[in-house]
Amino acid sequence: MQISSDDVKRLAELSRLAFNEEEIAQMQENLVDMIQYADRVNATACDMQAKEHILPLHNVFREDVVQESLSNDEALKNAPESEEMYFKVPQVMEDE
Amino acid sequence: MRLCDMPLYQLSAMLDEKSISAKEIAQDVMKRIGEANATVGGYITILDEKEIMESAQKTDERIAAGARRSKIDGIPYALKDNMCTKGIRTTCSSKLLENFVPVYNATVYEHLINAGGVLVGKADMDEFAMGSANENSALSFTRNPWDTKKVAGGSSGGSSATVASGQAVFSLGSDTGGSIRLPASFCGITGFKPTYSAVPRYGVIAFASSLDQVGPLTKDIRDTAIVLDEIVKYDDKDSTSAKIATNYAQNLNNNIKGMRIGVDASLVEATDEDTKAAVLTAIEKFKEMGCKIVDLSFNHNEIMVAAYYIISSAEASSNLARFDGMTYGVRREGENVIDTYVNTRSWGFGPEVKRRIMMGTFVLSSGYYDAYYKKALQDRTLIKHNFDAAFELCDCVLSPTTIFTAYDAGKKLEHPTDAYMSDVFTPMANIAGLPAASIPCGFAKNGMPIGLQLIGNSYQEQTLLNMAYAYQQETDFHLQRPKMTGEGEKDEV
Amino acid sequence: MKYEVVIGLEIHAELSTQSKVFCGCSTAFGAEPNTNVCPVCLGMPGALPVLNKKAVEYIVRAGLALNCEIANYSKMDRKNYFYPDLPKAYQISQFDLPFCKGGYLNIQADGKEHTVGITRIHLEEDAGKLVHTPGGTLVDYNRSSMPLIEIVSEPDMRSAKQAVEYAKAIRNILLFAKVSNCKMQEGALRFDANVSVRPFGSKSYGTRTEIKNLSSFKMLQKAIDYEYQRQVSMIEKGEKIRQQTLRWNESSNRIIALRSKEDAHDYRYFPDPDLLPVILSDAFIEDVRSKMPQMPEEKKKMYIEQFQLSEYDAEVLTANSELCAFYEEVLQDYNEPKIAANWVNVELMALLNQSDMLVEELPFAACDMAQLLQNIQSGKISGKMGKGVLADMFETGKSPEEIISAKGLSQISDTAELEKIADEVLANNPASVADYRAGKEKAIGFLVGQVMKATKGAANPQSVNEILRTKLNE
Repeated sequence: MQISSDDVKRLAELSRLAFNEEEIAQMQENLVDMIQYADRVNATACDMQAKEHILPLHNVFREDVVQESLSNDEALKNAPESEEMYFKVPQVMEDE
Repeated sequence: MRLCDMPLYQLSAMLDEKSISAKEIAQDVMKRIGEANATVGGYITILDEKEIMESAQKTDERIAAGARRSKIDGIPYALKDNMCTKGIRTTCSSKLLENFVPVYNATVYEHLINAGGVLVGKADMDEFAMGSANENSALSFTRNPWDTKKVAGGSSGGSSATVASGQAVFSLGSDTGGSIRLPASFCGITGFKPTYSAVPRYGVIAFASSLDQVGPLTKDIRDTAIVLDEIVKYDDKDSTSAKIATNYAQNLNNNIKGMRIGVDASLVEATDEDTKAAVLTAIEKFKEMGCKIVDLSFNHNEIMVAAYYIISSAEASSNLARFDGMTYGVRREGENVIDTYVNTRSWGFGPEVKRRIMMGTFVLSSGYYDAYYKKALQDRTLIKHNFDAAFELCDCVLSPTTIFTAYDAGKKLEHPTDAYMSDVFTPMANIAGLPAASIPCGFAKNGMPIGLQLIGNSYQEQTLLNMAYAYQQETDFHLQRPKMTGEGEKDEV
Repeated sequence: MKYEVVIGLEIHAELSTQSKVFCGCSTAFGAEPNTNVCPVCLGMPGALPVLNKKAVEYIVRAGLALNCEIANYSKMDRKNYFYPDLPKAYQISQFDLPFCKGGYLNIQADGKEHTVGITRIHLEEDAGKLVHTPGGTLVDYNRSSMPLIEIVSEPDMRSAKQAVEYAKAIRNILLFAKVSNCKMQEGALRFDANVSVRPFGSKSYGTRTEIKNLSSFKMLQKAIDYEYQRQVSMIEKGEKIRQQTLRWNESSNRIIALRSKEDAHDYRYFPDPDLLPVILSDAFIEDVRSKMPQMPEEKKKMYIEQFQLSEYDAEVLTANSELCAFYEEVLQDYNEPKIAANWVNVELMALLNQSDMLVEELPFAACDMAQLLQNIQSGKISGKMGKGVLADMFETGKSPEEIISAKGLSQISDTAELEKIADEVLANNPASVADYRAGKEKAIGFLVGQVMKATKGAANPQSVNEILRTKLNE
């Protein structure tokens, strides 16, 4: 499995991470190593139906009952920035 | 022996007899923190002495009133810093969360509050629990109490080192691929990862949701049983929580005659000389106690480790996406929202975390999902089946916990996957969701502890506890304590 | 060359559960910002989702109402992308195993019946709401994690009109099924339109674009019309249509491109490890079916067969769930289905249409309308007076009793009184009396009118007619 520096850049973009050229080269090398290792999963001729969960549980529900929410103060307590009762984030370009 | 070096069950009995007070225990633990924290480290946040003493005082009042809540009422403990504590900073040892003060509690912490435990502090860890040496902590440091030049193991390194050094009587850690058992093995204590779904995950900051499980790190398997009785509880806030009736401490017994122990000799062979010798001796010990050894072959072990890295990275890449500087944590402002995301995350995550996120993004990305993620899920299902078959033949599986004992801190690895190769025996329990323990089984020639891993069938915690209990009745490795004189060692760090 | 438009719709509807889909926060609309929030819907570290059982019941009900096959095995997946309205940076949704698949809906449009295929209906969580200000963007997470269903249609519509009729029909079904309040002004119903064009007769589809987040029928219509024109003119200029996401800008009445990088999105769907699979037994599905509220088709049949309503009346009533509910409420106090249907469909609708109002905005209750009809039935007021009273009720919200007594509208049913007036009218109009007696039947109409005038319309014209005839024939 080959990983190009463009692949690394694309994965970085999807992950919202930035790397400089040196880091990209390093990351490329790391990923090649890791993927080579990961390739071992293909060593089994396993056509078993993959289960999403190893637990034998299903249908875990909550009843439709309203429970107490946080206060606005609590909600905003850890916000890097807030205004009035809102969280504040940098300008979102609606038509990015 | 000092109070801070005593096991929980013993301190608890002394509290019941009123031969000591909770305040005395807390005081001694605080004193030990003063002696050991500079060299061993192990904490990210230590609570105010006043707060700790008030909490101990309350236990003493309850004891005086004849209303002690549980066996851990009055016992000082540490929580890995990925468990949310209302009003107490919870960081996951990441720069991104260095200012995060939760407004809610992890369910496990609620249980310990209700049981009357005395929280001493939040234990150091690898950032977001990614690592096996505790060298990926962005906010603190942790070293091995047996030799502070060496690593404590990870990712629950702080939870392990604080207990081994008497800076806490017990602790909770979390285990995604061995993160309780590895440091327990390196630090010579008892670590226990319960069956997936046994301990509520609500409020525990996720690394890999389908693998993460909280468990205790203790000085004695009896302590483990006591703590498990308090934290193995159904939680309606966690969809993956199971309803299990428990009475582990009460049901603990050392009659293990006739138990069948599965051993894959190739795993024992793969370890260093000292580890191999210690594990083989332990096997002999179990035979002496009337157990039967059953030969097993885990010929899928490497595949299992690969599946583990794929699944854990995939889940981590998604779980850690929320750390984007928008609603909590540290924000590094950029020109617009996208720049802010990128600046915040690039600044805040350490290299190991970034590697896993990148890997996880890769295995889930379009074109690779089937070849990696989906295949890993298939292999996982296969491994679970293999274990089901193995447990037809045996009651538990025995192996070394690690390939080698604690190594020198600061050792540079050429390839990140080399680190992954060092913990090849532990992830299988997480992949199959099984309970697993690491207990001390000897010391290497350089004096570093060696750990023995026992894996049980789903929800058969009691079997593992009994096996370990019987073993600890016959051995004294778990009774050894590192020297905590505090003299001369301070200069080393 | 003539071009045909091909449209598929993705309709998002908020389910009317009391609490959110994965936590216990209230779904009530209009709360102060960030007060219906908790660690779960704020995506705080360590918080975990637990699925609301009612939301599952509701999506199954919606699926049954839209003739879907209900999956016995379903699961929730994570859709990963970064946006400030999405606090976990992933949306819990469904990828390959949605709750409902393969349904259809029949609609009337362009004078014909059309069948629109429904590909799937899946359950997901809503995102928060962004408020743009010059100094930055503000976020309110009250809407975060509200339960949404997404109804994906086949590309079966061939005009904007059809698309609108389909959207209206979906809204109507969801209202009848009582799974969503569909309040568009609250954002409880939103449309994404996939639009492509192709030469008439072509079998293959053109490249489609997706217009996101249309929040009214009018917008839907305008956006599709605009996009059709845009694509046709591009093709005629020899340009290639690019597959892209667009947004309708209501203020400028035009479309703008939202995301230009075609491949920038890779949602990396995977099963959410925090949520377990949902296995719906046939018994469960049958139970939901048996508790289904009556659907419009069923009601229509009942109205025609049991109430003897005309096909037309039955159709009008069942095409609008609020109107239908109002009608049935009227019947509870006034059990004359045909008369009631006539009043609701003709008189009430006329008033509503004149002032462009919705049934749910009426200032009076269905029982008031029933009372009005009772008054007419008993002869206390005339039908004509009733229309006036209804207009007043519509205007003022007052009860019919209040209006009748305030205006002194009581119909004169005292025969002695009427006979006295009739005598006067006959005495004052000898010419008409003579005409009538000479065989000009029509003359009686004038005389009845005179009596009605004298009584200010308070007499029952039927009685007046009878009294006059008796007297003239004496």
